[in-house]
Amino acid sequence: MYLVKTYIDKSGIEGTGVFAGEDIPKGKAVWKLVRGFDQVFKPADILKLPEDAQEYIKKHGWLWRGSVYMSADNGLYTNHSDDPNTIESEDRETEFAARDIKKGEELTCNYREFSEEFMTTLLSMKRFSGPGAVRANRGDPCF
Amino acid sequence: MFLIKTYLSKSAIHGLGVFAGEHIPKGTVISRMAPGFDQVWDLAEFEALPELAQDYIQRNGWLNNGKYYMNIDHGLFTNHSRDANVATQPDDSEVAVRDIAKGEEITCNYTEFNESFDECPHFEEIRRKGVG
Repeated sequence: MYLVKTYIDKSGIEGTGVFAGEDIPKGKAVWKLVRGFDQVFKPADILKLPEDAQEYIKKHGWLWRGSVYMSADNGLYTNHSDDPNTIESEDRETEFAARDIKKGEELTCNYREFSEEFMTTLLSMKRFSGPGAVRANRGDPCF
Repeated sequence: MFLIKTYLSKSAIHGLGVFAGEHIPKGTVISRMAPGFDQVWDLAEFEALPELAQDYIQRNGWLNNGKYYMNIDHGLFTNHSRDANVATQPDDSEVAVRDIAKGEEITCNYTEFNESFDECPHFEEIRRKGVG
């Protein structure tokens, strides 16, 4: 769940992105996993969901230590950058501003910091292979 | 969750809205609650959440029969209209009440399903404009 003001807009990176709704100083916690609000799935339970729900989780969630996590708010639409302006804590449950972020700047994270396992494990599942799989963790089609 | 193709874009109604990504004939079931995907909280669970999370749920979800519900897909962004093009059924599924063209905004009438509509401060602007 984002702890700072954000809004969704068209991204220069891909599709939809999340933008800072206020100036954010370096080091400030911008996002925190809130259990009971953000979603935590067991991979086996995901496979029982309708296929469209699985596709959505594949695109917007991430795997960490055996569970799949998905934000319930604008965090759903955070884009990847090789030079992200947020950085994850070691337990992947908090994201901090890696530098000063101006109001109106897109918030980005590095999916590789927490998604490599998601990509390799989920994409190896039967339902997560095939043509749609290459779209995993890309921005939402929008605008 | 939506059962049809949708996309997010700027809405003439409010902020972001959900738009039809395909032609939707009248009578089509366009969304249905997917247990285990869409979220449900009873009042005790809801009250145990941080204020920011409660606020988000009140804005983007709805209260029905003592439980809060919230979609986790584009349904988060469905705007209200008093002349909505989808109607909410008793099981919270939504049906197109007329043909919806590709590119048209999908709207629902919050008063049909959200018991907190009359009191919740987040909907004051909509109430002021009139919901009749």
